[in-house]
Amino acid sequence: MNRSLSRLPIAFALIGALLSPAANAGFDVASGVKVSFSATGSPGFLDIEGKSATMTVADDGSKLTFTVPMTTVKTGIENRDEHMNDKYVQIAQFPNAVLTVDKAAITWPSELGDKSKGKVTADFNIHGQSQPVEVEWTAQKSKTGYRVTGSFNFDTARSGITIPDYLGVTVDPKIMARVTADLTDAR
Amino acid sequence: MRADSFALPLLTAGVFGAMPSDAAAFPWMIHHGYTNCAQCHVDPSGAGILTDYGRAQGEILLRTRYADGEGDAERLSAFLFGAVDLPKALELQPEVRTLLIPEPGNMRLLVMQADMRAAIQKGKLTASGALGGVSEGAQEAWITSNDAGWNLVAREYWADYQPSRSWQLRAGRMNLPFGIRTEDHILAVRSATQTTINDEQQVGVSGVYQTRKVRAELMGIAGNFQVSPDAFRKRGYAGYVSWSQSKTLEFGASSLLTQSQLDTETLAARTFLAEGLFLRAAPVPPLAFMAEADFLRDQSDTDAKNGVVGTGIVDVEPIQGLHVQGIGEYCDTDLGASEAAAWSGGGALQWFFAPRVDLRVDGGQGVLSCTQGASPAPFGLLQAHFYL
Repeated sequence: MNRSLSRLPIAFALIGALLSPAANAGFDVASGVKVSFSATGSPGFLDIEGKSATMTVADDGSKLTFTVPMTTVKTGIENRDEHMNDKYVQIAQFPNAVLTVDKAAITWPSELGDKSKGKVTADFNIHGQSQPVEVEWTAQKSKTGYRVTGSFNFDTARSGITIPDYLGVTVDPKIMARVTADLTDAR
Repeated sequence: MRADSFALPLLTAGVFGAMPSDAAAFPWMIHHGYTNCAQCHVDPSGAGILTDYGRAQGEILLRTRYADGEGDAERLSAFLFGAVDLPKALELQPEVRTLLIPEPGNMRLLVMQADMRAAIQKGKLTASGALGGVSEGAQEAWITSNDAGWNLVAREYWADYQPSRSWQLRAGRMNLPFGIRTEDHILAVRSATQTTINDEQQVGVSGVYQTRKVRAELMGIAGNFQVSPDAFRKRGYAGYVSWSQSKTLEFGASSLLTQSQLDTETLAARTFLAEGLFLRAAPVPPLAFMAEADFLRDQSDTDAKNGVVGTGIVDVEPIQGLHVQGIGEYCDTDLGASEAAAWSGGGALQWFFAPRVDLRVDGGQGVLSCTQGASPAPFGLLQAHFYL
């Protein structure tokens, strides 16, 4: 579940790129999607990482919306994925994690190879509930569009997700999401 | 295998006394992204009684799964398969490990471990202990003194206070924190550094520190109080610190220094130092690699020896639950002596073929347990292990 959140940062980055000089550009995900959600469990600082390579982006001219289907987020242990999807994220009711970014808040470089970076406050929705998140993003102009990255922290407790607790191992509700993607500029 | 095909002279030269395994501790779990031990073991540095989570991972990750939907992991992993509901704070783990050694004209069977392990965890406090029997070996854990047969053993008994998520303070009889913790007691690095988890625990006090990247333990050693008189007891320290570069790569360093007025073997005063480095890595999914190299200095009233010991293990898990290992070792406990260094090379096949049950076959050529001066010879072992 938290992995969908990580996809959100990517969406933010993408949005930011669209917002700058190309405020009304139509962006789409071309390739290179890497989404990860990192959590820790106690005791022993169990490192849990959910990964996905699936994300879509929608551009309405003022906002970019990045969507990660939670079914595509895998932690490497099937049993854990089932618990995450069914018991905690409840993907039957809330299938996606969605990050929405104001395009105008992001600076797009115009020269090939140039890179911009910054922070933007965005809206992250998972488990059907939204929370504001601060996304650290980068955008680098490429031949076909932009290579964007983003990362942000979110709190599953603020999204109404029950804190995962499995046989004495409790997952910290603070999750780090990271995203990388190559975006095409469809203008 | 035919008994006469495995001469095993090295083992019969006293190595077998060190063979008994205590409890499961699988450093190749880094292959599954587990660099820390505390999720699965009550002992934060690994081995010994399992947590509920560790028991479940034994079902989910450790054993061979033959079909989807084989059963609920929580139920299958519960104490006595869920027949008895334990209080949440209590863990119980009856555990048996046997060893079959083919010798010339004989098949020798040892019960290396028949323990009842228990742990109670309440808030920030934990207490853990084990009491059981062995048919031979494990002398340093004996609480009876029957030279001709079975003995009661108490390998561990300790209490733990965890004031914060990262810190733990422990006191009691504990495994020595040094190097790669493994159930494989005959590895040269464990034998030569006197840090097996079979019977070389010591009473003392330790501090444990863990974060996502770092794990460390430093123990002050007060001695083995199951050995007397006091002059035989070792005092000093042991510790390690490790850094996990990622979920699949860990580097570590260890140090140990003990002194005793009388050594149990030489009956002379002894100062023993071990300093070492270790590595665990899982570069690609089915493969794990573990290595440890240690410098040794062994000093008595009349003599001082410097030595080195190293072990490398490659573990491949072609299907879940089946581990194929290649093991190479080198050990020279006296670099100044004319005796040849001890070495061994071999392999192991370990199969977790059913809930809580595994079989392990070892075979190879060389000198086990760092027995310098012994002649290399073929060896073979068959272990069976289960817990409830």
